[in-house]
Amino acid sequence: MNIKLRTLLASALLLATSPLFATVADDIQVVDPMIRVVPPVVTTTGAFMTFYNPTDTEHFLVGASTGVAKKVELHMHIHDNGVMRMRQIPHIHLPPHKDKRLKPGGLHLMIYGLKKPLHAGDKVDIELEFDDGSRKTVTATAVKR
Amino acid sequence: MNKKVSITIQVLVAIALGIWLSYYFNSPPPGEAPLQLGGDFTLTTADGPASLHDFKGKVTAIYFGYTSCPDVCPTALYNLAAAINKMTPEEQAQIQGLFVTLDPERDTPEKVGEYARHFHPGFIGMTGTQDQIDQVAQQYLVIHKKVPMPGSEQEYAIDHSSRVYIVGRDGKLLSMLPHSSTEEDTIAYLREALAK
Repeated sequence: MNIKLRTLLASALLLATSPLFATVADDIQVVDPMIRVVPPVVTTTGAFMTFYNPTDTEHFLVGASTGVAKKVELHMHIHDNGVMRMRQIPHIHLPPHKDKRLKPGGLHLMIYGLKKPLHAGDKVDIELEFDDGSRKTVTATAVKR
Repeated sequence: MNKKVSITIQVLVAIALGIWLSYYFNSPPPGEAPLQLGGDFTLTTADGPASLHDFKGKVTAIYFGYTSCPDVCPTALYNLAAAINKMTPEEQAQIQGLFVTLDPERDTPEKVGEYARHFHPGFIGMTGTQDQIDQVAQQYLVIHKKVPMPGSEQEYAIDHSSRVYIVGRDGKLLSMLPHSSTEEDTIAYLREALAK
């Protein structure tokens, strides 16, 4: 079999089977995304949501971005005897068949450089990036809480 | 030395020892002054200097944080405001919320003022010099530490205790509510303070 033919066959096989291999972004479910309304003098805020990984494989959220702010980082809090220590983390682990909840005082998306103040009820698109490089956009509701 | 003088000296020594012992057991051991948390302080607001004693007669609820704190501080302040808003107008009129920044480097009086008012129109934001802030934090046992965040958009964060301090009408610290306190807990402690 010459190389050309082999390449052709490989491509055909890949094309034929690709719909079976959904991306991580297709698989991971995101529930109740919200972004916090903060005082207009402040341009940093947090976003929260619950992830569900229905697959048998562990996955990771590796990044996020939004058009309404300069930068989004993944952060967590360590509660240490009443002291809150906030740290940037490289990814958020999404274990198989489990929920992972981002919530105030815990894991959160830290949003820097809001371009304009948010108001309760505003809808904000946040693009999430997963470990295979796939992306998905969720719409977060701005909440005052 | 005759016997009479010797007995007199013995009696005097015994009395002196008794007096000394009674002082010794009634006063706190040296170096361990009774722990006095809280107390008065004067800081800067957008409207000029303000002291805790300015609010005498009211119950004050004090929270220490910083405005670039995206998560913990808003959670605590939204919770405190929600608790106060659930109380009667008469009760609300007797409660003063104070937000004291632990980040005087970035938080100007105007910024803390606007920040505090966002959560509740009656809240007052306070800042000061680093020394003043450190002093108040020490009085209230607020742990706070600047932590560089390399690679992050925010140059540094501030690790800090997240508690609401409830001060009575007389300016004395009554209770410290942990971060995990619910609205109901907060209302209960505020009511207890109002009843005193």
